[in-house]
Amino acid sequence: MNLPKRVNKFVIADPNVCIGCATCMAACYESSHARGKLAVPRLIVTRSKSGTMPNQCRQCDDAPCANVCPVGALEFSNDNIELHEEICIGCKMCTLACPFGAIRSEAEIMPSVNYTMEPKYNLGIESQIGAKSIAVKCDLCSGREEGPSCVEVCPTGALLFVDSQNINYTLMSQKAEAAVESFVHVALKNI
Amino acid sequence: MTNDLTEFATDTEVLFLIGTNTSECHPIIAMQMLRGIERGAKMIVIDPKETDMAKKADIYIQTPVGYNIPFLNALINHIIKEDLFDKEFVEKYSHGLEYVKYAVADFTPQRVEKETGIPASKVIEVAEMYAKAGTAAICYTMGMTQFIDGTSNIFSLSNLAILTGNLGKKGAGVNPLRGQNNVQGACDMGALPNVTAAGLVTDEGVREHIKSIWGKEISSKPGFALTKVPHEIEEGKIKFLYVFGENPVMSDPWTEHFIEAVEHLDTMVVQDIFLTETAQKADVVLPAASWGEKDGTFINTSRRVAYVSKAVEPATGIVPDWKVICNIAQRIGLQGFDYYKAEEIWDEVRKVNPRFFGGLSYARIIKENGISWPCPDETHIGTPVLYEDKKSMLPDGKFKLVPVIYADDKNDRTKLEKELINHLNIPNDYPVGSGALSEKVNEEYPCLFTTGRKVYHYHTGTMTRECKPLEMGADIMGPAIEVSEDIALARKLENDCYAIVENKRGKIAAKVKINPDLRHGTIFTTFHYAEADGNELSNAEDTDPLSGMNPLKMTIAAIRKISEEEFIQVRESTDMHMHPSEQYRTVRR
Amino acid sequence: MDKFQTTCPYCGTGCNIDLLVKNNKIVKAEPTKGHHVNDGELCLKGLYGWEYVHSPRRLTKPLIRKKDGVFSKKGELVEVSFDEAYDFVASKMKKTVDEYGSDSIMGFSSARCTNEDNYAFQKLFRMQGTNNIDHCARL
Repeated sequence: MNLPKRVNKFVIADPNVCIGCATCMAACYESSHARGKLAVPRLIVTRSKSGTMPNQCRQCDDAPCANVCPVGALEFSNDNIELHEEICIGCKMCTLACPFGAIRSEAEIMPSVNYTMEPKYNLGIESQIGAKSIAVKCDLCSGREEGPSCVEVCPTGALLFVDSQNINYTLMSQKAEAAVESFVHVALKNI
Repeated sequence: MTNDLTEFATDTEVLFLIGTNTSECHPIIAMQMLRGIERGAKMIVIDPKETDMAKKADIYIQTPVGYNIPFLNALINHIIKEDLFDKEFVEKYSHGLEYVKYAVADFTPQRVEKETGIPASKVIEVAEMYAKAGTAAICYTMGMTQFIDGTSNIFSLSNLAILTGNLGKKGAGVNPLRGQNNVQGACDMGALPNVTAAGLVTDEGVREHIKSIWGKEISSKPGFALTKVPHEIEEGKIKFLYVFGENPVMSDPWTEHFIEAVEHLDTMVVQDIFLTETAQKADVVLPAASWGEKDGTFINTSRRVAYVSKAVEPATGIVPDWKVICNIAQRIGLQGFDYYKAEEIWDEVRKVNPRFFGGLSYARIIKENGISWPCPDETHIGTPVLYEDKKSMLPDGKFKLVPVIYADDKNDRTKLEKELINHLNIPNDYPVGSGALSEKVNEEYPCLFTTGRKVYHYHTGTMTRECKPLEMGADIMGPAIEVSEDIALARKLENDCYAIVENKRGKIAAKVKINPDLRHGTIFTTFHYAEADGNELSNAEDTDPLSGMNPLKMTIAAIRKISEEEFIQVRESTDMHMHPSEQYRTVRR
Repeated sequence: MDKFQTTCPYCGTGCNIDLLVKNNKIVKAEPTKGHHVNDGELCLKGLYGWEYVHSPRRLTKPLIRKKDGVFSKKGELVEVSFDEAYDFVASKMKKTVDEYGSDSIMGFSSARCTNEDNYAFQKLFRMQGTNNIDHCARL
């Protein structure tokens, strides 16, 4: 079978160099805001027992979130999984389906509401005060000329924008070559 | 800092981080450190919290909060016992080896293991890695200084550096990572009760020199330290308080006591850019220009004098802080406040302290993107590394190794110090240090309570909470009480449930986050949020005998789970409606 | 758009920032390329921590605590003119020194402000014969 290949682009972090400074989150907020999207960060710096890195959508080729979405708000696009905020009904099925915990429901706060007292309005999903929740996930800063803003601002260069080019050549081929090299080195001597 | 922070990237072989959460509080310094690690540098981290840097470290040791002196003494003990110290450096450039030798004799790595459970082999590993490095840099922040033995902690660190000859060379040194943009500068400018820009107020030469520039004699009596102020106000000694660019209601320990104290003042003036929690208590509030609206200079942690540029015009009538101060001084009738621009003040500073700032004109600072003091003349290139001539700033030019002992009871410190002085015949003017815990956990308050920062906010949040990408973008947690796993288990606390932390000084209520990175029995919270400010509980009674510092990083507390209703009640009863931006407070998830 | 190179107002690292200004408003902060300290990188506070400069909550007028138009500890903070505020502080300060002595006044200086501000502030207190001046280096 000779089907045309579809390789999604995605952003991923290197936990070896991530210092958990959350600059990416602020940049994400700023980029979402500037592009008229729901102004919340789409990647969350997550601290685990063994290390820290931001977690975000991997833009899976056969994405469970897009498969499960009942209204087609999550769509298989050219080279990523596109989210149409305006169609999303806030059913949260994608949140359940995502194996990475990288898609969640959020609602923007309303300027007219006095939020002084948590936890009255501290509900995560704010249907009680009238704001509809919608799915939020990394959209690779679509519409932003310079590409994903998190990658741009990361002070330690921990975030990597992976596309079909560098996944095949930079990442895979280089590692394969290195692995072959070390095997051959040993094999020639010992086998 | 004795050294320049970029040397972590280029020269340091071993980074020794103690009491610092570098990646959250100084991300760009952490970036420079990571570059060093990529180059092959090793990293040791010592902290009660397993920070992000700790997870990247070659050796990480989780000490209990406040357990610094016994640990550092054990390192010194091993270094001396195994002859790992730099004999040439110690003999030629320092004195006091025999004192330190005696003081650390009892502090074996085995003792550390017995007292804390940290394996002795790990302590030895740290000592050897540090001592055997060609260049090793010690970095610390408030996790070392904000204790009643803060000064002695630093004595111990400088002992380590002197013993191993890690001074006066690139990539080494003793490096306090300064928390505020210009805390170095404020000290250098003489905003201290005992030091002027030229030197100690008790020094007659200094006073003469200042008189020759100001045309007026200054007092030789050191003033009150900030931490003593609430007490002095209550005693009726201070009647007029002028606070400028600071938010002590939130940043000073024991909030309730501080607020009570300032009510006794005749007049409290606050000069700030926002109506901060402190300004709301003031009698007079003076607005001023903020960063970006005025020219000036900052001095960074590497003593680098850098230019701050005016970028935008402030609102009508708003002038820089120095101009507000000059306006008031002129109305009082004081001479010498007729500056026309910031540069004129700086030129006066250069005259007051020519040894440090003589060669640092505005033009040069701008042209060279900042220069580290001392820089005595226009041809001097600045001094990124101090002590390159192996001479200390003390009168005899030698470094002092200071014996530091440890008392089990804080009331025994003076007695033990005296015994040490008598036993070793230490001269009167030679410093001696001692450590002790300010408070020990008891049945009523069984948890250690410590405070710190989160990367997305800065101190009391006056500025950062006004910035949406920080307040609503990066800060997804909001005010939270972080607890270690064992505390959570014992009290059935879960993530996102509500809890109240209290001790005899105050209480705060917030959501719980279980943080497995904390050492057992530890509670951590921030002082960014007016609605749950960790400093409500901080210890304001005990102070470091040498610096007057309060043990802000350590107190004891009790914690219990509360219902949502009780949480709202506590919040409403303690809510001082301090932070103005609460009106648009984001919903926390 | 104008560009101003300045130093970050947050931690002690001293990173350099290029502020882009349009119509007297800061619109963007960029790390200064090739600078010794931060080498073209910034953390989130440097990049996005400038919005407060244009916050509508900034103070624009001096306030004095007044009740029925006169100064009172029990009053409310009300807006006054700059001249009135400066005169009031100066007279109160002078009166306190005359009545209770130089050491009855105390100043908290700021590690967040420039060297020039700090120098002027300590000079104000020292010129009145006291060393009662400290700042948050301890905190």
